[in-house]
Amino acid sequence: MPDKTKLSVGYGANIQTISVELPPSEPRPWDSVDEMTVVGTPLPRIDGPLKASGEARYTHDITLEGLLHAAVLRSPWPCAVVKRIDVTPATKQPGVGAAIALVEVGDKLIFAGQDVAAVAASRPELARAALASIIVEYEPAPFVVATRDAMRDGSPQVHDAAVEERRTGADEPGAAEAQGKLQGNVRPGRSQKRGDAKRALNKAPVRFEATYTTQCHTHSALETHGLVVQWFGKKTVTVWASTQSIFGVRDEFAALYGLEPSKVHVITNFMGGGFGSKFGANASGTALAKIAGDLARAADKPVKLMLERGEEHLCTGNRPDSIQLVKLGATDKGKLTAIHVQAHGSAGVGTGAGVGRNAASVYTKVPDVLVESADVFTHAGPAVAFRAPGHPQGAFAMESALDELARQLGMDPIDLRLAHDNHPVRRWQLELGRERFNWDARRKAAADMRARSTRIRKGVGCAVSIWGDFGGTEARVTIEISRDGRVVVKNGVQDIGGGIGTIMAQVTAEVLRRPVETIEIQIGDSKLGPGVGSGGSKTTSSITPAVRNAAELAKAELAELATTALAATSTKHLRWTAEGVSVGRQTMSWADLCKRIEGEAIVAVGFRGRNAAAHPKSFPGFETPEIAGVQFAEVEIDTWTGEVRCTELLAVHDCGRVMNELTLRSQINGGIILGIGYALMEERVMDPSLGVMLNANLEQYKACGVKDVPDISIVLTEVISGNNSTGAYGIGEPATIPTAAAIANAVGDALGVHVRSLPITPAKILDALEQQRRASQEGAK
Amino acid sequence: MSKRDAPEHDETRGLTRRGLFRSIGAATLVAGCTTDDPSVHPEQAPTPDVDGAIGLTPTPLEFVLDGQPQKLEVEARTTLLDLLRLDLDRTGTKVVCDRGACGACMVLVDEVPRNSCMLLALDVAGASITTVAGLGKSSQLSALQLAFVEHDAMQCGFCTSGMLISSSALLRRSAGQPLERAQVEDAIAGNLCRCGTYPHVVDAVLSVANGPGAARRGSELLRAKKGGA
Amino acid sequence: MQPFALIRTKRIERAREIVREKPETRVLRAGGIDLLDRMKEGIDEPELLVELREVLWAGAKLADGQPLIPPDTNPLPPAPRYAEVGALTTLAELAAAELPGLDALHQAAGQAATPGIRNTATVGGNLLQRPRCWYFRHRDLVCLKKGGDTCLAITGDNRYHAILGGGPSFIVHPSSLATPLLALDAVVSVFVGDAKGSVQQLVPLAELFVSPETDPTREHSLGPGDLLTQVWIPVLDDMRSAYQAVREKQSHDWPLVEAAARLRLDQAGSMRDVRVALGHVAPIPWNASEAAALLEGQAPSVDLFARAADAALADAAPLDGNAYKIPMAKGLLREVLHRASGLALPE
Repeated sequence: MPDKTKLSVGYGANIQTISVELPPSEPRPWDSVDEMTVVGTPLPRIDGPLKASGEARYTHDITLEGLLHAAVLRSPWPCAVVKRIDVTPATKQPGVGAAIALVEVGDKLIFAGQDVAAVAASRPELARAALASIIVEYEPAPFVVATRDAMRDGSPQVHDAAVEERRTGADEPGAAEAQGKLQGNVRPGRSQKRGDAKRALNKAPVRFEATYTTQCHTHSALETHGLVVQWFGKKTVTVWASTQSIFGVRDEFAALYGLEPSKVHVITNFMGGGFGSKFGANASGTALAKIAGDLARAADKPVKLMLERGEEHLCTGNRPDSIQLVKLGATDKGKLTAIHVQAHGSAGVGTGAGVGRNAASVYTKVPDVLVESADVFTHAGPAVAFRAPGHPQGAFAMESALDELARQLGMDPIDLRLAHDNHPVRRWQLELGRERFNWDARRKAAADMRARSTRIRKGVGCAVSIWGDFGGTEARVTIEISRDGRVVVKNGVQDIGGGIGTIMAQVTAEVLRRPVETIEIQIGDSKLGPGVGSGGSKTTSSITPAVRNAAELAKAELAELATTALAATSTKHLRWTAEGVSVGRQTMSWADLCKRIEGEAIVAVGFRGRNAAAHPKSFPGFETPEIAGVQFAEVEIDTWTGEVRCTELLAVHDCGRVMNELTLRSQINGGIILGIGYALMEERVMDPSLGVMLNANLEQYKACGVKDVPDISIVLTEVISGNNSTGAYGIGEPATIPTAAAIANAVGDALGVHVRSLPITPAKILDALEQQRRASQEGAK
Repeated sequence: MSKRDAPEHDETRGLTRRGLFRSIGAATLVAGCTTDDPSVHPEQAPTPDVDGAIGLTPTPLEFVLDGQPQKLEVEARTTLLDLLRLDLDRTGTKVVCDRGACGACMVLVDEVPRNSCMLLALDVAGASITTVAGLGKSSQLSALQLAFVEHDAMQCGFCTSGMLISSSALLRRSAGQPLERAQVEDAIAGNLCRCGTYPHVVDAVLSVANGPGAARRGSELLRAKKGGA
Repeated sequence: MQPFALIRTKRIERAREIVREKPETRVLRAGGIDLLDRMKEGIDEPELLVELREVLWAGAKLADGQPLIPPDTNPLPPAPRYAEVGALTTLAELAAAELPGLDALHQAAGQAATPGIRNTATVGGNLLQRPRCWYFRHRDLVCLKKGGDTCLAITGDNRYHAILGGGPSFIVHPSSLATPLLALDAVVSVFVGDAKGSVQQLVPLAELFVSPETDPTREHSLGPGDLLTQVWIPVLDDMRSAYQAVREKQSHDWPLVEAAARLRLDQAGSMRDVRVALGHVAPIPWNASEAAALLEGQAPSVDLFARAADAALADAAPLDGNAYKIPMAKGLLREVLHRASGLALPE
């Protein structure tokens, strides 16, 4: 039987000692007693100089001898049957190396932006010009692009048969296949259930009911989707891909062409953002890899396919919209008895509309809960996982409804949350925020401004998040320590921008007690060994334990050498320092120690162990072990013009052990800022009668700029769980979940009336004020 | 009905040669156009019969790029951005929106920050262009670039070169005078960052202008520790 | 972009002549921001761009005198002094110029577009740019302005469209400089000469713009090759002005509504020579003369400004998605009047 290991775990001052079983290969997890010297420090990212000098080469920057540039002809029609297609005229255009049809006569196209044909030419402008010569005849067919319209009986049906679900590693953890049967354009998805919410609602003395809507939100990564394909014969290929899953690209590319995965070499040295949309070789709504691969074969030259900005909006994924009917039941004392959410959302022609888990899994003291969600198919580009899929829309509705109920009952919104949330860390976070955000005084000031009907109003709001992905065990990290003292850490993981390479260097340096700048990191290449996709906020929690474990294995070998060299009685007596290794007064330098390595190098391969402590359910003292977060927002509103700004934001988050406070802060800022855009300005606008997107650009699709950013402060409530050898969790997704909801609640506090639709534009503020004015006039009569 | 007869401007509102319609199922429509349409033979388009017109074919261009004189030939339709990336392999300058809406392609034209996607290559004849590469190499970063690294003013890094160009122009203009946060925000208001790195970019620029103490509070870590957080 | 050629000339007559020879395929180019945008979208495919860089002048200053025009045909409003702004002046240069009383213009120039664009885009180009309407800009759509038979905004998503003066087209005029310039009673110089003689016309700004009722396919009245060369702005003694816009996004966004006002306060504290303009509410920059008439000769007050705002929007006829612009424009105009007059805004 394995030995029990004692671990000191917990959060804040709540530390307890637990016993866990570890497999023999697994080092004792770093716990709250371990003092770190490199891990956790704000080390600037190690590839920063390459990015700051423009020397970093992204997929878009790859140049090869003879490279052709591809362009894709896309359907302008939301729904049409192809009656004729002829690409031969394109082959005669200047500079064109190949032209291919991507549809056949008779094919039905079901969204504007769908693949029709493609061209590769010596320059991008020649490829685009050649597209104009392709002859296509379409027979347009009825379509529907608005979600509510699509739900009506008799609206044009998007899919005639069952829809295959396209799943990626960025999907919400635990999301099961939707089981429901297609009814018109509506397919009921999975439900989350506890008790009998409908019955409890019927019995509730206080009921609250409201419908919340959220918009379709596009990822809009700065580097558009793209790849470069270079064939070496029929069976071997190199693919440079702007991806957040190198191995996902490899496997999908191999499957597309019937290749051995090992013959598909995928390289992603740098990538310009993904946010969930860049899993797999093809994108959700365009067969990128097939197009580039086929063109490269047809032209017998390497081909680069790099989407234009408009295409990125149309066919590479989005966050589905939502229409959520939220019903709450409560006692008149403010005890919640039931939550029932009926959600519809459109993932366009694809699947995956959801509402996350705020309603079902945060308020665990509510006995009866039912969350039902359904996909509504529309003739629009398919959705794909987007930073915390489902969660921001679900958090907006649930957290808004709670605030509205609190207003109805005359309760403080934080008190209402505390009364129904069992999570000890989130409860701590709520209390911390209440104090640090000066919540009570600001609420009072907001009420005063409302009472005096001031022109400028301020308000505060809060909202919470839940996240439950703790990483996986698939990564294999290699560490080589050479006779010349070099330390090289290798893994095929890509850096989506979180800075995983930097943290790998920190963990290695921590274990080996080497200066961090001496650690060489090699990532971004499928030849460097199995990594993980950067989805589910699990890159750090999957990779760093494997790094630590590999480093510990390598160190153990070195320790054996040192024990012999220094005539120590046991490896336990060795002291490792930046200078080298010592026993008593004897010291051997790192360089001298490494010279004793037999052969070229020590090579150790590590992985994150699958052990008892690795399971999050073992976290002590938690009924709900998920990752907790709370955000507090302040808004300022000009009631004359409707202008609304988020002026201050406090984010209180747990992400396990903090590996690098600097890059962590970047990620949290990023989640918040994405959430601000979602809350206040971003929206894909489709014309309902033409079926096309009207703002497929970065001018009228309004992503947050620097002047839209509030004063952000971050408090990290470290949690040491012992669930992996480094204790890291992820943060990328949790950080964006509560932002829009917190802002919406702040708007509600400022106005005294809730805006139930995202984005909260000046137009909606003015509308809410007008409704409020009318209501008060009615009341006065 | 031959494709030439396809209704290009019939009763269906919202229709172009490339595509769109209004009424459902009206007619078949041509997505591209026919090969005997002169507009699809770009290279055979008639030369404007005006003396002195240039750029339909490659035209000589001289300018200075990151301190190095350049002498080459380009067509009028080549943007400065395409020239830099495709012809000169200066890929530090990024293409993101290609419409002047994101700032990823910013360069200095005679010290003035401008969007290279909205300039023609021929516009910079005789000018001095500075790209991110001209600010400093990775082995020899300028103070501003170093501050970007130290403050983690980058995540995916795709906006970084544009941010650097915009803020370097601000620092040149301010010539050593201390800067307010709002001034930095004004200077980079046209630079989009989808990772949301703005607060660190502002901190980095302020640290160069005002000294290292200029950054505002960032984060606070409450450790899990026996005896108190 | 389709291939095209450039021609550079130093002679203004020549520039105009070249375009007039083949106006359907030749265009004038100053900063070229809007032009290049349309060319990239395939909305315009000119064969020849006539460069104006060496034809026009850039600069913004108080004029030494006024243009030599016989007094009876001179449309310039009487003023002790005039400011003049060259058409080639960039928005950045205009924002940085120090001209007394022209705060509204500086503010508008300093907020438009992005810093990078402001370094390229010119005053002339800003006034003469095509609309940003998403139907007009959509490469696959033919709207009224592109030869179609209806304005697609009428039944489409018209949240950003006109509430005043609309029909048959419902675009809003995109120029952010036009709003303050209209309030400032500006006049533009237009070169309409040829080799036989140099002719400059002075055109009051309001007459530069064309209502869609007159011609829905164009936004300004200049003929092919005609060149807007400079802007004249009367500078009254003790003149005050203010401009403000509402945007959904603060960093780079087209306004939802703009307002600008010009006035001076006489010794009794009454407002004189009041002019009020609204932007992004109509297919042309909107002269809110009813509001100005109400304000003229009155002392600033919160109530008066509210009544003036109501008067300015009295004729508003919103489409189904832009009624919000009415209260927004009223609120914004009130704020601008407070700022222009110096009357403190309510808390």
